[in-house]
Amino acid sequence: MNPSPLTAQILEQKRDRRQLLAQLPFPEKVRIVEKLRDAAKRIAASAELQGLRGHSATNKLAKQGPSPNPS
Amino acid sequence: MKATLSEINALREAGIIGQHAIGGAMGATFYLEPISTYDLDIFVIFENPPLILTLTPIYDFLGQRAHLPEGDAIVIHGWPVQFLPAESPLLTEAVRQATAVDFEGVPTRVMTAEHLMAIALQTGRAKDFSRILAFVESWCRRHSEAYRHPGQPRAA
Repeated sequence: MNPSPLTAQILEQKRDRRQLLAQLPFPEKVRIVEKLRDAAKRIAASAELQGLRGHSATNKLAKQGPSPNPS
Repeated sequence: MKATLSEINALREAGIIGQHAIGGAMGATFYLEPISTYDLDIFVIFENPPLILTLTPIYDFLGQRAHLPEGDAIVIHGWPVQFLPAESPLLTEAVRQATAVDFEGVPTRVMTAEHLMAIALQTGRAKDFSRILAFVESWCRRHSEAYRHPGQPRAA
């Protein structure tokens, strides 16, 4: 079953965005990864504060805190 | 990351490790869109490995430079780094044939896309297959763009 024109358009836009991101210089990509990682840690810390305990990965990330030395 | 890679190079200069290369998610990030990852995987060849291979010399060297272990990684200038021995023929080949990269003036090495895919296939987790698909999609897209005639509608 073919996707609708709207779905196809959205998928194309997503692929274009991935392609643009893939073409960034490596140092820029690393900075994005650092931001993604810090965001994940903040989410994990927030989840722990709100009592969403019991997930080992969440607890692990929450304990680490934000990166002290971003490049 | 620049400072992290410099410290890893210092390990090589001190003779603690042999050739090494970035693999894992950060290696894939070199070729693809940024991939969220917690740590930096460094695959290492030990030129004259002892009978029982240990990472203690690496940890001792880095510990003297105030880099402390955290779980199964060691944090170097904010980046948890996992040192992984290149113990299989595939990993050894991947490290030896890694691409030389300049990261803001610091030389480093990244496994080739083909080796990253082969290692992902061998590891076989769901996220590894997802990464392989991302590589394939990236390759297909590059080739479809290269051969697309002007005026030809883009493939869905």
